[in-house]
Amino acid sequence: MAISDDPAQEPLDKVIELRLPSKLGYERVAMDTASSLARRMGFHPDRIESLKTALSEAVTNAIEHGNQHDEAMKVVVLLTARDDGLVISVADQGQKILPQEHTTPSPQIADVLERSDKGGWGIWLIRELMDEVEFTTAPSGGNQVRMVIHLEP
Amino acid sequence: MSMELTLPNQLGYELIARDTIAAFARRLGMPMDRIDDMKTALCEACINAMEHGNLLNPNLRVQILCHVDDDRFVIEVYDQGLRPFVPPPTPLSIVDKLTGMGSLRGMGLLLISQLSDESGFVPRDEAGNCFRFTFQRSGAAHVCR
Repeated sequence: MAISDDPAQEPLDKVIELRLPSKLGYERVAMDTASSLARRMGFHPDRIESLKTALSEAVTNAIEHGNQHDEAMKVVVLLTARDDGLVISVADQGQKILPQEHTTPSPQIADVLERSDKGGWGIWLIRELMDEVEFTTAPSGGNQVRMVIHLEP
Repeated sequence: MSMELTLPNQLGYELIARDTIAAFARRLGMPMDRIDDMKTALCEACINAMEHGNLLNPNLRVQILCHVDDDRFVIEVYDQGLRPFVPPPTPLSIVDKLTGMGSLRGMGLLLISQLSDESGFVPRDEAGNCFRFTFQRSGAAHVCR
């Protein structure tokens, strides 16, 4: 089954929408929601752990970078169950637009250890754990990451 | 603090909502026994919204809003109201129903009223039902765990 490029084109009757406060810790609500759906879809527990880790990174990025920890701003998580997998979209309200070069990192451990800022692994981790990853601009104008995890027969 | 969740109008998705609300309530330090009450009440409210409000129409949606302040944890469940809720003229108790004085259907609202501190439909000007139920936070730790 072809994956559409636009999350807004997912059939609405299959979409779960979660709007969370931009406060660290609430990424766990998204993780538990996604885990609950993935378990019922029949994903292997290892894949569910990968999904939770990737989603945690995506929501944390949205809280910290996109929404700049402004609790009044929301992080929007869309979960769409499909026959062939689960599509997850995470969008912020774009206080700080993510530069394109930051969405394709290949961090080197030696380089990172030299820096005072030890961050920058989240996007790399998301790309390692998910089957498809795409960074776009959300309809609200913020950052959006769309991830797909395939359901293997 | 608030959170919103919107679900497809399909039976089974209330189980996802149940896990979402439990995670949110845990973050807010609600006691585990109250979280269990909340999960059961939310499932009942969602099933009511899907079956009775939205008449099992798969093209409609169920929306859940949670508002939390220092004192209360408030949950509102909205349907798109193909059929507005009409309260029965003389509601029977669970005991009445179990002793055969009425239909065994319709116990969801009674159960929610037993599990929560306040519950009821909220009058609205627009289409759709809003069912609100509330839990006091007096036993909550007021910290994120």
